[in-house]
Amino acid sequence: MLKFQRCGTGLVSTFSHEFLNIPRVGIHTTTTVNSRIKKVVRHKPMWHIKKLNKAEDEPITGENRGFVQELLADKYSGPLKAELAPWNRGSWEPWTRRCGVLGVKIGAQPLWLKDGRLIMTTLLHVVDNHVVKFTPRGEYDGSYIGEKDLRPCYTGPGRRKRANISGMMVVGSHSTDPQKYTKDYCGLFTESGLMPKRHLARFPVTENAVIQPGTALTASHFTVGQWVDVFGRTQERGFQGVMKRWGFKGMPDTHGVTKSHRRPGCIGSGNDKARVFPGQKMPGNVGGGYTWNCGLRVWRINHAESVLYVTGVSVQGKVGSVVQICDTRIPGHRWEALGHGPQRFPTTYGDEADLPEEEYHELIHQFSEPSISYS
Amino acid sequence: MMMQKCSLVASLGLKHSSRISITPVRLLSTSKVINSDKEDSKPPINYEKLSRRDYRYIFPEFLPDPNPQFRNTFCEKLQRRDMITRRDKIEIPEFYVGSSMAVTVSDSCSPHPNKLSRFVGMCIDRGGSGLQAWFILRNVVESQGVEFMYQMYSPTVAKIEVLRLEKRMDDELYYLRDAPQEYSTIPFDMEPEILPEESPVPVNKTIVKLNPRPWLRNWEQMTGFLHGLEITDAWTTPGKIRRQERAFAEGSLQWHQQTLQFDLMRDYRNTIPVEEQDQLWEEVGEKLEDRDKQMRKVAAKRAFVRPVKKL
Repeated sequence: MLKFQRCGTGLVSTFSHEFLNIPRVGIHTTTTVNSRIKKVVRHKPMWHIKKLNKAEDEPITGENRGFVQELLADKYSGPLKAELAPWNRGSWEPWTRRCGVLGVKIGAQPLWLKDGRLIMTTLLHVVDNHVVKFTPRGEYDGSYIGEKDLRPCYTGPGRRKRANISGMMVVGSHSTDPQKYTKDYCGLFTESGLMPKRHLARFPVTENAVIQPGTALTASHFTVGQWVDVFGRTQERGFQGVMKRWGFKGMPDTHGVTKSHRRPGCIGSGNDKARVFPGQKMPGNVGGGYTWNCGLRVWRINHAESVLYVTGVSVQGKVGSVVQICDTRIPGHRWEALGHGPQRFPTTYGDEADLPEEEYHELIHQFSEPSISYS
Repeated sequence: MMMQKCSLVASLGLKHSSRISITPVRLLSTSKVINSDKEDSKPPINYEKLSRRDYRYIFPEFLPDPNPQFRNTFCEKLQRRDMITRRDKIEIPEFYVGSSMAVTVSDSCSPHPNKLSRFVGMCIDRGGSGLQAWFILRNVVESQGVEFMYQMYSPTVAKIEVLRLEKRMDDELYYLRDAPQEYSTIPFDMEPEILPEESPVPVNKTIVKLNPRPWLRNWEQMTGFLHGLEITDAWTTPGKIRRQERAFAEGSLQWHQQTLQFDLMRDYRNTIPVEEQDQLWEEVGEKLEDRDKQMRKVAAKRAFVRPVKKL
């Protein structure tokens, strides 16, 4: 079962799919009651559309390969499908939810505040993001995932989406060659006319934040000084002992301790229960699970190159990993607490004339300014 | 705080970077092609590119961390932009480990009204790549060894001066902590020494005689790659000599460390390939050269305007 603990919101990073006729009977393989303290999810859900398990294509000649490339170039060149009139752009009001983006963690660099303090920042490159699809609420509720939301599990009763959520927006990043993927996966993009995307993410949105599929998203989607939440897969650390995994204190290195410097020690109480309780913290695999990293502040945005600079070096994954970035849900830092919405709502459509190349938060010392002086 | 004597040399604002010409080597003739005898000769030698290869010694922080886990060319490019922007505001001169330097930082706790703090010392180590570049200055103040680590691109650093540009026998001088204090003392009122243009960086071949043991590190194990130190007390008993021999026996860790100098793949992994470096210097070389020219102009102007002080 797929559950993500994050500030009381519903499921994320799951792709709602209503085309496949998944039988409702016999899907569950585990019980709903689960006493594990730590549950790390590493596998993709079974209802995910098979992406790469395609049958091998029959061999084609070099000329035909070139012809296929030309076909693809013709198909995907030019402006995206804009048959319908562009959708209305809403305006922000409290309790609005808008979509996020997919960014690549490219590295870390220091920035300095105007009072001289150093803050390490992680650079997130928002490249080739497009809105792939918008699934209205009714369709979503009727789908398999929508029904799963209502089912209770060990974390509590069902997690129905809030009433103001009007649907699920799917965002994709990194266009790739459709020849790599299965026909079903490529079929997800035919409606919007986009090239198949390597990564997909799902965001619940309210009505005023709906964006037409095919719209490009960049780092300018965000505002300098706002807080964001980052969702991604943590670095795999392999099989680790209790000290690294659970923070156990271990035992002294000297003073007669025999062969027990990093061991867990006692794992049970004794006669009364005469067993080890389920959920006993023991060594095991660490990392490689999906987590939320909340409350990272955006200090600087490079609008020209579509790069975000967020606080800290805690962004999940190694350099080159793809993460989801969206507005924070932390009570003290969300838009409702700040009293206003983002500068560009629901996103930037490329028609803002006064978008600077680089935008810094007012507390950040810009390198083009003279050295800091306290006199 | 000792007052810095205002000398002619210091007032002229001549910096040590003027010692080395980072303008590209120019041929006498205007044409770039040399071997014009053969029709299908090799491509013309790009002297600009070749001379810029020395920048890896003058600007080592422009080279990225060779660890492939952290490599991302786009991120490095963005960092280099910020570095160039910062270098337009402050002069970060060429220096090496062993050079005597003076760093002035903005310090809110400074007793002076200008809220600046100046520290003079010898550079014992430098590292970091990109904006995280740092260096450590060591000095002895009132018979107390003091070390300061400075972030080269921090905006609180107001001024970096190189008082004496020189190199030492080693790339790190941490053994000065276990040496008599005389080796680490740099006078606070030291005046900058100007070297003639385009002269090579002098190498200071001082051998530092270490204090008697105990030491902070086992320097006797490092004599293979640290050449600037000398161990005065032998401290060898027959048992220790035997232990030393055993430690260096074939297959042991110490023996393996001795073979590391022949490990070409290790060197390759720890360096940036020359082709990548050429691209890098092509990107930033011109801007650095322009900045150098700008600073020379400023120094020359100042030299012209400022009156000569009578000593």
